[in-house]
Amino acid sequence: MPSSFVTDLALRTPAQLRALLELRPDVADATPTSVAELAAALSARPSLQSALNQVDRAQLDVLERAVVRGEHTIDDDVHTRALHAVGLIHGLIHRGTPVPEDPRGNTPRWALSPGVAEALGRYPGGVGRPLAEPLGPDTGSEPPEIDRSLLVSLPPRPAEVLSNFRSRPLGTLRNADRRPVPDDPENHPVDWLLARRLLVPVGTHHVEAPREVGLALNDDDPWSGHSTQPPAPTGHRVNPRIRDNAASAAVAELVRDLTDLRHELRERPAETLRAGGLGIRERRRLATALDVDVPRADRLLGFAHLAGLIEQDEHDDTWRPSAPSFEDLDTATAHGLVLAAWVTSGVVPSATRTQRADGSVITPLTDGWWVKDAPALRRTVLLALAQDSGLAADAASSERAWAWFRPRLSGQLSRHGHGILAECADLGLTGAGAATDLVDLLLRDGPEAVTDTVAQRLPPAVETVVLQSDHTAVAHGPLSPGAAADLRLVADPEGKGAAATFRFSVASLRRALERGHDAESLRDLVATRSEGPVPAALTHLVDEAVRTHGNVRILNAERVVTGRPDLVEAIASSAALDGFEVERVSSEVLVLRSAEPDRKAPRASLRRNPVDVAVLKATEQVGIAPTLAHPGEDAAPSNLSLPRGASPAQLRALFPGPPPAEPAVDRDHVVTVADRLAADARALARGGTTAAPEDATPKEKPRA
Amino acid sequence: MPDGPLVVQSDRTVLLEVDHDQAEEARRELAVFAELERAPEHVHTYRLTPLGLWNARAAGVDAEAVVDTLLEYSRYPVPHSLLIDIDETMGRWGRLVLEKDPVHGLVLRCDDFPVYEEISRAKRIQPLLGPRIDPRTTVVHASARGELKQQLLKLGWPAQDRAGYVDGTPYPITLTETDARSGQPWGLRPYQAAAVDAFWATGAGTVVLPCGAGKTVVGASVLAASSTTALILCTSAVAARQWRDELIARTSLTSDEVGEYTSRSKEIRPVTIATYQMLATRRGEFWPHLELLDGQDWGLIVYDEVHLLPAPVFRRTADIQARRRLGLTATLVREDGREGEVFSLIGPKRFEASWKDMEAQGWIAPAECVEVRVDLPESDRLVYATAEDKDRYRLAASSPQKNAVVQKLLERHPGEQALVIGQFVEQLEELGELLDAPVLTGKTPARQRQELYDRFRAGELPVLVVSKVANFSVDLPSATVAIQVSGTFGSRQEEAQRLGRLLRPAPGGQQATFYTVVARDTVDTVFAAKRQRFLAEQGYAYLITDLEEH
Repeated sequence: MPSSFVTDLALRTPAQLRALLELRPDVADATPTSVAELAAALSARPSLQSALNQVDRAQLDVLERAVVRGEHTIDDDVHTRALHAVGLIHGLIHRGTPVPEDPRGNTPRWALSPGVAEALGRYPGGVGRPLAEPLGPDTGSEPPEIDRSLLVSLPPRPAEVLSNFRSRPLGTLRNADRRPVPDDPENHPVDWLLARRLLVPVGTHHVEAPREVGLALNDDDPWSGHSTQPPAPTGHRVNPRIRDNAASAAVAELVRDLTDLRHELRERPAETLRAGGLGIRERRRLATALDVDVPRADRLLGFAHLAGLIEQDEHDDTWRPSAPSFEDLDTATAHGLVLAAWVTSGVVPSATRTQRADGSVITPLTDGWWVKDAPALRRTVLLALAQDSGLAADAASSERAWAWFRPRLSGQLSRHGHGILAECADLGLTGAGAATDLVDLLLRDGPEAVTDTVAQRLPPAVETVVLQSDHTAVAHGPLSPGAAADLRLVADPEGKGAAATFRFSVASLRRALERGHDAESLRDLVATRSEGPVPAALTHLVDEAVRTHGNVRILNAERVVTGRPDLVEAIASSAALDGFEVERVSSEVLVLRSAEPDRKAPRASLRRNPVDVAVLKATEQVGIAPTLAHPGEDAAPSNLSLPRGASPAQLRALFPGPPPAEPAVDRDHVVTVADRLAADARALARGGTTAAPEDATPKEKPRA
Repeated sequence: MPDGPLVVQSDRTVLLEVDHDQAEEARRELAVFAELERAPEHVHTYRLTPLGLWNARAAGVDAEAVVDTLLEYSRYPVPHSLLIDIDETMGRWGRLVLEKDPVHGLVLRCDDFPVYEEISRAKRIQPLLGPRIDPRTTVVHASARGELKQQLLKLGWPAQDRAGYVDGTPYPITLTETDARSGQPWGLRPYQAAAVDAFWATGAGTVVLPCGAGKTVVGASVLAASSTTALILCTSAVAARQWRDELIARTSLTSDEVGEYTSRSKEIRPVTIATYQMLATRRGEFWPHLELLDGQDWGLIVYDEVHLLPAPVFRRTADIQARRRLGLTATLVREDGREGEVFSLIGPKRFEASWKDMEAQGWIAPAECVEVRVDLPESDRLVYATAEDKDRYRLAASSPQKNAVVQKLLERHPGEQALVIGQFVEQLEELGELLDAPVLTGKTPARQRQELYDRFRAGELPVLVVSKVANFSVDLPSATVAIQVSGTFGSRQEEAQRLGRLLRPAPGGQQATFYTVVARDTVDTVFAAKRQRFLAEQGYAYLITDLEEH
């Protein structure tokens, strides 16, 4: 470990150390206790890869140029400062530190941090390795050199071949290690180049243009075409009113759709394919139930999965809603929960139906959704969006911006970027294709700040509804979770949108009676939830439901025991029936069924059974609506209530989502680690010691 | 957060809070492109349909204006996908144009080549298209005009019909300033004038007004605006006679100029009134009277109670798209769900007024709807329980228990004239006997029917027992009470039409009362609930009471 790097770290102020740890959260997560440990953690290959994935085109050019042309090329500018902040370069001019000179007599002020040059890969700047490297150690005592004069007067055919190596150093060639025909440039141009080491064989199937050749082909500056500023986005302007409307609508819609998805999965859990994931039939079924298209349903599944709103049943592999009651959250908190999970999750919901490298198609709720760099990809997309909040950028412009902001992720961004844009629209970060102010807020202050802003913008929840004589109820706003639950019990939801609407019927009111309400409590509930007086028509409907409830009951039974009352009584009280549901419907009739309802059986199964269908039809023809008993209906909903007033970040721990792809920045932890490192640096400055970098093994962050 | 009167839902419905300060402004703008679906007391529901959006586009309203209205008046953010959908849907209008070509006659033009390819390859459209005269233009036979428009509409590519209408034979008709029957001055009510203007702006379409709001007057006014020969189609001979009387009283037409084409007489005059039944009469493979539709050079065809249009007339209407067509109805609901065909063949809804708004403005009588429930005696319940399915409704609906209730209800309205309405003739005859009232059914000869109606209007009959023949187009303004004892199963429009018999404002301005007597715990209650839905959605609240309370 170069001492200049450790010194550079030791000279950083606590604020600079905090900034460094925030930019390298994996290092903060490792909890280094000394500057030496910090230096070692910063030089670890995975950490460097992760940090390099976060540099933009201009910063990457600085690093590549330093590798290819020497560290003296690193100027003091804004890009250098950014690279220094993130620990990819360090200063050389320190008190008492010897300043090395490079072979050409230049005095560099900055140096690449340990491991950065290797982490940049073999071909920084798109040029090959120095000639000596591909040739290997068998080239004699003199370092091999290229005759640059050859490059000035290349014969036409070799020049044409070599021009293909201007932006990439490798080419494919059969029998690359052959003995070349040296002097027939028109018929054997590659041989001509190989013979003169303008191309060097790499194995038997590839040739490489050495760095010297690559630089010469690019006039010594492969970075000349690169801009130091992000490309100006192009696209169409969006009226801010349209943009903000679309984004606000999306927030409420996402929470509604996720609630509906959980409801649908509670009623009919989604079956998993044998190969894993959900098949197209199940997804179409969900899309129809939610009244959305299949791609939207796929993304909803993804959001639900990454936020832990759904989970796989360990017994039958079906997907069901998770126990914590998402429905109890207000819209802003519910949205914040999903957003906070999305920011750090490796699950990319929009990856569904894209292809893996092997050509197979990714299905939802499989590992195919997992993209390790997903958080970085999202940040890039957000950065590009934040360039111009009034503009809906076109696809090509977006791709140009992504490639500039995160050049090392450009391949993944081409694959996932447009899908992530769709996710941004789903989350209400964009509207009509343009970024809202929430994008800036998310990048700058994190998801909590977005949630606070969203909460201020959303209409307040209402507790009551307008009841009408046509037996409908309309809420003048989003219903509070309590009011929504009450109304869902006594009426059937109707329509879909910002205003909750319901329709009362005798059947819906009976449902409440079956769940334990009596006439009085039912009337009280309706009156409590009514904004004004209850219309007479509805009062009569309630009366009718109460009057006719239980006139005819249809029960599920596995066995019916009939006989003399005393014998039936004896059977009913027998210990042999422990563990079974026993219902004494009259003195002479006993109904028996298994206590554990078949979880796979959908609620509507009663209607599918031919006997039940016939019984129902018969009662309906008589003009009677019977009281239906459904398997498992009496069981209390499996919802786990949530602490009131908890923030999305606190709630995340309660929802069983997949772990984040990168550690979230815990600011308190960062401050603690930075303060400890600053103290160690002070001790170092006073002449104390620090652990030798070679021995320094980053300690694991203590886990609760 | 804006606090507008609208909530735009993602299921394409728009809720209008009627008590909001801006409700009227919003309603006016919304009505241009959205269909009123239901109008209960507090929150009205409109629906955004492709047809409604295309009608708005045809009327010169573009997508930007529609989006602007929704954003302007909406209380909550409007789903963006809905706004995109509106833009795309309205953008489809005008891509296909039906127009007259000086050489080839009627042609279909389309500048959008892929769209043209899509429609020309559609199985149902291919046979309706003639030779292609250039890459953008195809000849269309005049007789295929209606069918082609209908099929294009189904495919989602509405054709803008610029081919215009034939003028018909000119015939001067003017509105009079005084009603010839009463000698009293009269004039069009504002909404009637608005309906006439809305229709005349396009020349084909439907006007929806509540019963008693003066649809016949709208028809007469359109006739005067047209001043051409005209054919009026209505539901019965009695209705035909009412049309005749109304036209003679309120227009310059004389009895010689108005002909009746019914089973009684087959007069073809400058203005001819025929019944649907007549036109739909079939002899073997032929409909001998259907020629009436196209056999004369009519400048205007009026379809009264257009929701009842029978299938043969429907089909032939497709062939007469070159004639101006006016549809009139109070209840544009068809139990067969074919309302859309009315729109595409007769023409879209050009004007609609809410029942409760009309009531509030005093143009139709206020009405109270009461459902009276009776318990069947145990013996009847057993008979009912063991009856065949097909007999159950008749047994429940015509229960003798209802007769006593009807008698009691009538006693609550001394001095008022009442209609007792039912479905089953035997039940009606029993009631007639019990109430000592004449019974009017389908078997009653037309002349006798007319006489009974006249006596009722004159106040000579306090109670008239009628079957479904009195459901439509019968003006009995003196009736203020109606008691419905049975009906055609769950027919919503029958319920509305029966209430409509009471809504013609009586000179005394009394409130009307509409009773429905229902047998409890039988299919009668199920059908009653279905029947009431249309009126409940129009804002009529049903009070449900027990026999004991009366």
